[in-house]
Amino acid sequence: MLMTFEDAEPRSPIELTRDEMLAISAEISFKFSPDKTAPAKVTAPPPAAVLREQPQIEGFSHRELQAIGRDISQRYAPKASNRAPEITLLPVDPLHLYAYWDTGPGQTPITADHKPQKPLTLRIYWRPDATREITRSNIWFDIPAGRSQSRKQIRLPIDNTFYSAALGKLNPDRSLDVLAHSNLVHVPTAPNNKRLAIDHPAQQASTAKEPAFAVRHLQGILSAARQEGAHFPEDWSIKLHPSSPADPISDPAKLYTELMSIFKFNRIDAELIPEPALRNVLENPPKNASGLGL
Amino acid sequence: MEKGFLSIILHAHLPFVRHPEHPSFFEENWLFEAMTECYIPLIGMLDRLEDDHIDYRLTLSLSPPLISMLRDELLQSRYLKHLHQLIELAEKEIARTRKAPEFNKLARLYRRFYRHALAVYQNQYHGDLLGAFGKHQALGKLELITTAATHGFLPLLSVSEASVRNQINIGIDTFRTHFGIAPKGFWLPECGYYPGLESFLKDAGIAYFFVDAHSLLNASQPPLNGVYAPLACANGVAAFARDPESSEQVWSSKQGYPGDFDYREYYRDIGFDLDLDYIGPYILDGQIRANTGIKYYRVTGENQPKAIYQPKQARAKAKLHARDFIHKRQQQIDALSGRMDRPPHVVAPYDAELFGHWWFEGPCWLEQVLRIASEASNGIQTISCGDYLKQAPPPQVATPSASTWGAQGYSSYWINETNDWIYPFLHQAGRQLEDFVAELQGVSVNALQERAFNQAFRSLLLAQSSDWPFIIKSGTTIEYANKRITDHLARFNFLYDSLRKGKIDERYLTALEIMDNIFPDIDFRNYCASKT
Repeated sequence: MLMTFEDAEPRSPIELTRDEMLAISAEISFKFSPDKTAPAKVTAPPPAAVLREQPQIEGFSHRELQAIGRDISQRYAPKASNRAPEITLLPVDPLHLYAYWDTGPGQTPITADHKPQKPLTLRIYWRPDATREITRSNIWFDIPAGRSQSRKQIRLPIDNTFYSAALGKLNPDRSLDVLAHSNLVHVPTAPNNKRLAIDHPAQQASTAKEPAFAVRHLQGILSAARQEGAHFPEDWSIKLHPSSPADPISDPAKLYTELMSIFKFNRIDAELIPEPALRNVLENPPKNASGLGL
Repeated sequence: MEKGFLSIILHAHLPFVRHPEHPSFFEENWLFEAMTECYIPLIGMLDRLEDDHIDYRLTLSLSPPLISMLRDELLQSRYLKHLHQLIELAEKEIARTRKAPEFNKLARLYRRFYRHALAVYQNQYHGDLLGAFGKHQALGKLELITTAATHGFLPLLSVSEASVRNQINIGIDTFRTHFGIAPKGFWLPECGYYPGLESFLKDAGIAYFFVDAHSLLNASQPPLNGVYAPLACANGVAAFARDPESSEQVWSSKQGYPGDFDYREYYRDIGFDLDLDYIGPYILDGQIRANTGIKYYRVTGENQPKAIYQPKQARAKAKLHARDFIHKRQQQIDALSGRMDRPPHVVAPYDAELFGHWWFEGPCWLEQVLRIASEASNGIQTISCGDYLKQAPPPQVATPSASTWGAQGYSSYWINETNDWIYPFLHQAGRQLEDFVAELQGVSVNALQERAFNQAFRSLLLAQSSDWPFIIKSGTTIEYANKRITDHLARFNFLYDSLRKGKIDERYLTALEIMDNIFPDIDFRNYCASKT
């Protein structure tokens, strides 16, 4: 029957320091190093002491270390700070960013007189010219922040551009009482099939920037465009990617029509590319749909 | 005249899984399995290539946590124990399978394999695998590079320059401490790049880094040579892109070589197949089934009983696949050569642990690839990216696009509904440390405070590892990853609170220094907003 190391450990009367172990190991290695071309010969089991760990590690037993670790983890578990309001953006991919926020102390959902507060809102600003401050001509869209949430993934209308955000309370006139401004983030270019033609690198031509629009949250942009006129760089063309039919858009075809007319007015080359889920909705519109040649 | 170049890069990384607070700890086996099945076989491969005077170049990225663990005395002694247990289990298997010759033959193979690993580790390299890699670097065949301190996912740490800068600088410092030289190249964790990252790399003396293909293809200027030549960022640091085709041939779960029916099946292990009474001493707490490393079956194919593993057949297939890999690179280079103003450069990076651990025959395949590529008639020259840059600077200046090599090509694997809770805490802790360090400018601290600050810094770095959100998303050892993040953040909070209150419990601090002993030379003063 084979002797297990569990059997062997307690029987050994020998205790060696690490230096002694290294010295023994070096001596054995020197004398018995195997020929690399021959099968290794390691037949003798190692001295039990080599395999036995010291019960104390620099004066601490395993249990003491565990107890200290457990105590710290219980008493100092990470928790959200409740300091000044803040909002942080993190880029995820060309058409998504992540926002997390903290409304700070005193931002309770119901006021003392039991009147509901103004809805907490994330206002996402498109910042094509990242170096400039946010102005009234910046286009934006609003996302309900939700009282029970503190983080959210956000679908973006345009890739390869900058965004920032403000956390605030939305007034009935759509103005925002700002609690905090975010950092500025850049999202990358969405993959472009033409430039993925890696087998023909010499044929890759320089292409105009083609920011992709997702219509999911475009109502805010549309509102801004109506009020203040959207600002688009002159050499841009735009592809519209209507997203899910479950979008809270009551009349998507009408919305797209209006957007297309804005783009046309601004002499922007726009193209509507419905994603499969919405294609059916667009191809089989309700009877009162208008525009888009329907 | 070579028609084209091939760079193979292996990225070796494991999270810091050292648990001195337990007599043994399951996750330490991640390291031990990788040592037995991957790192030691790779060193064997390098030794054989050297002995046979094969002219090859290979790049190996060694992460700072892995470097630290491979040099850790506690883990070194635990690894020896682990190896002896494996040899003991293989011997038990030889006895158990004595009436089943095919299984018995494999059990003997495993005993040979483990004894050889022990001989290489203990006798040949005296427990110092880094020394073995360093030896091959000194011979000029292997280029060693490194990565971020704890493999922090830099795009999601970028809200703080101090976080990114320290992840990069501490990674490089750790490498320099253990190898005595600075690395030329840098492996961005998960190939996570964002425009601007190159400025930190340049400041740290780095000449090149790697990105995924779409990062170059969507660069600020269309790359004239696709992914077959590097781009220079505006500051001169070069970006090399992964070649999708050579990646697919190895990585793809469907078409990739490792899925061949003749190769060893990773997911059939005696730890799951044999009686608990028998296998108990070699699995988790004697009760929870886990891989032991002894596997008797081959992939076989879908919807049929697994057939027994045939090592000779598998090795022959690995050689065939190596020849196929080189042949496809030749075809690729031939097709590209006419359209490029320079020899095409194919960059093929892989996780090192794929070779030997997941794909048992991987080291055999790689050895054959390097041997075949060295034949002059092939028209392919293996090259390190450092050497490539010496021969030919990047032909074009452009900024790569933000990207990763993860699913969908961006950051969504590391931030999603499963793991998004991590980031507010990570950023908050970073901000607290940064603010505290700023307050201390011109203020001296005593030795105990200095230790507490440095330990808080270590806790923060350990919490920043990209492995935790990755594990949580992949759903493997979620509980462990959650615990590691919350433990490290709690340790940071404890130390921060102690420093703020001016009451440092030295016993607790010492215990934390023992448990999280990575980066002994760290200096908390470097965690400041702007570089000094």
